[in-house]
Amino acid sequence: MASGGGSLRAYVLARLLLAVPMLFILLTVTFVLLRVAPGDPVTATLGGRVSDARADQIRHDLGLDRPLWRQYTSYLADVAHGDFGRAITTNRPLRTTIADRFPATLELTLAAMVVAIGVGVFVGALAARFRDTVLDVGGRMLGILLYAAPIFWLGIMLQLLFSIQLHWLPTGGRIAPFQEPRSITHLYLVDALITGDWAALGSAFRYLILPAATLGMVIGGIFIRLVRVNMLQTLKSDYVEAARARGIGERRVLFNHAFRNALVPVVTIVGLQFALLLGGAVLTEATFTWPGIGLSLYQFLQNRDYTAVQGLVTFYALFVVGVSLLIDVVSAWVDPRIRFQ
Amino acid sequence: MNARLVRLRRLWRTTHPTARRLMVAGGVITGLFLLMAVFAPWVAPYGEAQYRGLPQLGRPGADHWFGTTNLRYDVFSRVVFGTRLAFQVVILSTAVAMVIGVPLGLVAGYTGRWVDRVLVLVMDAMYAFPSLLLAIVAAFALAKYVGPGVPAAAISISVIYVPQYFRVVRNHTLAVREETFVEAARAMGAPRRTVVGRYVFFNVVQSVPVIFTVNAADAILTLAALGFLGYGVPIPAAEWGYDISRAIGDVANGFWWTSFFPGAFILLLVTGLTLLGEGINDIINPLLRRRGVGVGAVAPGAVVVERSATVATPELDAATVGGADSEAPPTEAVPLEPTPVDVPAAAAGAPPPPPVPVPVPADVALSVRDLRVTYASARGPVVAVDGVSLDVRRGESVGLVGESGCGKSTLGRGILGILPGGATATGRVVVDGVELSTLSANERRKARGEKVALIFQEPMTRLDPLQRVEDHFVETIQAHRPDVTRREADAMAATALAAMRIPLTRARHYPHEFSGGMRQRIMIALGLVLGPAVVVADEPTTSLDVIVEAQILDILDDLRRQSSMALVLITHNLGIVAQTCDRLAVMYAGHIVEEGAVGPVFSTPRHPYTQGLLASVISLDTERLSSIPGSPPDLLDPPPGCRFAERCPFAMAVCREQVPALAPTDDGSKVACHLYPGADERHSGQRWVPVGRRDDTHDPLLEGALQ
Repeated sequence: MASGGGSLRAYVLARLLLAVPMLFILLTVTFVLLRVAPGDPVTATLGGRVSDARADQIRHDLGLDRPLWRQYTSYLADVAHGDFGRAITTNRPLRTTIADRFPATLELTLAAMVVAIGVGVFVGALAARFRDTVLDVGGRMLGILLYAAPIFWLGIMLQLLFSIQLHWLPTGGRIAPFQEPRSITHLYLVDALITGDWAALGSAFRYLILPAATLGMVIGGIFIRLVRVNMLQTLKSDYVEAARARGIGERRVLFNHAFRNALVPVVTIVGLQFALLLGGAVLTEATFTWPGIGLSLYQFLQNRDYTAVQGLVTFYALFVVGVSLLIDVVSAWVDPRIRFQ
Repeated sequence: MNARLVRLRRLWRTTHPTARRLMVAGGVITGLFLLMAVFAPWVAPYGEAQYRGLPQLGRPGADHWFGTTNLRYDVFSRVVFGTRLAFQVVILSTAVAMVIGVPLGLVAGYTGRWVDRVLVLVMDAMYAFPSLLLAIVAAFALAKYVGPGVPAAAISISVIYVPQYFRVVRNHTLAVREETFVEAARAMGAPRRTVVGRYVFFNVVQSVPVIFTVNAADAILTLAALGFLGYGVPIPAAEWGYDISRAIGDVANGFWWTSFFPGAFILLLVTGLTLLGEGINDIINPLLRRRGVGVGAVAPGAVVVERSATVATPELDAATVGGADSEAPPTEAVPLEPTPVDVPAAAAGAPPPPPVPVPVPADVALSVRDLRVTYASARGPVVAVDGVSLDVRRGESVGLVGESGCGKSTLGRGILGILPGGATATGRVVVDGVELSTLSANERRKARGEKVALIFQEPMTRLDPLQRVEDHFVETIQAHRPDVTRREADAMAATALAAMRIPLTRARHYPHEFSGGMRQRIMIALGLVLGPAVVVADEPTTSLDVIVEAQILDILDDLRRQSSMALVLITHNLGIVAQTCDRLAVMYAGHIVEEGAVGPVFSTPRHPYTQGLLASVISLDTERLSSIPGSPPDLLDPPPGCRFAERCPFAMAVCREQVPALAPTDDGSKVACHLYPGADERHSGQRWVPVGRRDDTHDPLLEGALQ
């Protein structure tokens, strides 16, 4: 019987080893679909808009004139060094694009996650506690409706109501012009808090509300269902009955036993939903012109820039694998049983 | 096929009415959309890309229900044609996903080894990647080869669902590959591949409706998202997401209708499909589970058990088939036949007489009077415990025995008042001089743990996996005695654990770090930490091995003697009762049928059921295995008379008509059987001659019981 610490480390190591083949597969699929399948990316991107000599030059600069297997190995090597290639249309390294825009995406997704967990846990737990009552049916319907709403449409409708009709909130962007706080973490809310820049904090918050609410509500719809189902199971569990048999108060039974145990699988699923959140972030950013990676991807997609899309998708792959690893570690930390499996 | 329909109909009826209503609503919405898709050219007043003569950005009104767009299209017509396109993409993408996913799943499941491992890794990686991004990448890569349109969009979207079909097919194939019945079918000449294929086919076909509706909902959202990002199906085709992306500019100027209606249609259709999918899932899933488990894991074992049972008791089976059924028509009991009014009253379980407060003697720790527990089931109320009365003195231990489903555990829970939702209990429960049934909910809660404790059958799942053992104790102690400090509670926990021989160093460990026997000792320590007057132990040793079982029983026995606590030991193991208990009560189908001191009941069991139970005990002297044929009656509709009559070798006409009362016998026991005087309250003292009693010189039941 080892105590927690050592086996948690072993568990993390095992998860790391499992993440490697997954990452390798994702990178290979990305390379095949976005580099091999389109044929020549320069022609595909720029078409007849540049001279043949210029196209050859770009091809040579980007290393696209080398044999495919060489391109593949150098692609993997570059990714290992954090190099995601260059965009054909802007000729900028994608690493800088990502560095500039990733904090905005992170701020949006984290805020959306807070909204989603808030909505999902609250409504889901309530629906489970009052199973088969009006509250339950209402909560479930809300979950389904939120899931069924196209993110961009929900965003547009919120813009229509709160920005265009009521003039309460801005339609897009991340902060009012010239209000940016001094950059420390590049998350505006955090930076404004650290530097005590209240004007920036207020502005950043006003700009964040609608995008975070849009993305968060759609993900929250899924959380409602998840939390509800998990809580229904833990409410029926043996240990909840045993706690009642010991005369533990109903409130404590609900919160300390049923609710806490219901949240354990939710932590794992949050990791899976993070993938959904990233996809949703692309749509949300495009709707609210939120200057994150999703908006860049949207713009590169519009311009059919193959190398840029390949670079961003590669980054997404890294990010997804990293987050799922992180979530696994967090769930092992929350639930001591996982470490022993 | 017919049998399956019947089963589906039954499952449909057992679902909650709200769930049914929601599913019907989903079905209606989906159906309407499907009709709209099929008849789009007739429903829509204009063509999907017709703009000549229409106003620009016209408001919704009589001419144009949903208004017109910037490009003069009629929004209503666009939206109707959009339905058609959405269904086309859904059907095509599902078909493509199945065509790719199913064969891959079959190959992976059937070949196994490295092919399986590689395919699973690839599919898992695809599944982990954001599905929308996956579809975008596919659409982007395809854009060079296939022009934008329905096929390109459908193929891009199908990539998302390939892993799902792969997984379902692979898991079923893998599950069935090593099954014994596949080998059996092969031995009989059927090609193995055919057997596997057929099994997988039927299982996968059952999961398809759920996967399909869920995927259809998701596909519609993904299609719209692709359209919004510019990789869907562009104008002149009518696609909702594309139309919304074109309408963003209108929104800024307050023209809401061009974006509102396409999105509202998506919302409605996806909601309808999701409701339908969840409904189908609710109905089909229990069916799937039953089939999957039955065929996969349980069936082979179950067959063995059944076979050994029939091999062991062929005579008995033959006897009952020939005996019990042929003696059914009542002949001599005619004068005693209860009036027709009485029969249904007895069957429905006539309301118990109002409890008369009886003073409980001071030495009685637990007194149960006329306890009746009713469960609300989908098919109607089930009376699981039907008017049970039982007294247990301080320091006494009473064994509660009977087959599974006889209401023993329900009685235990009824005593504590922790019945599951929908169950109701009537009657009186007095513990340590306090009548629990009259207490408020909060006072009753406080009595649990403090005055009466329940020790459960399954120690592995009874401790909260996220709490340290110590915290369980602190929580329990502070729930009853809020003034006790954490430190004092820790000390109490330490004492209680030490008494169970659990080292103090283990108090800070989590439940999963203990063995089953240790966990049960922890559960006992937890139950006893507040010194209750009564402990109900519900099969406390069933899941433990023999040595641990002996330990646990010794512990319980010691505690009972030392602290004069009353013990109710629920078990089906008569050996344990003989060893541990002073008295025993035999339960059958919600009734106590015999009660008395262990010695007399074991030496001269009165009730045929008790005789049967004792006869089926195996000992070193056992030469012939014996069991009671048949199974307990359906408590939803219990027989009007004695509930054991159907299985009883001595059943008489009166047994089928009148419930026997629990009456005292000459040696201080009590028995509820018409074979003995006092069973018929209206004609006490009369003795009835069994009607269909067989020549029982060779009756194994009696031989076993009376040895």
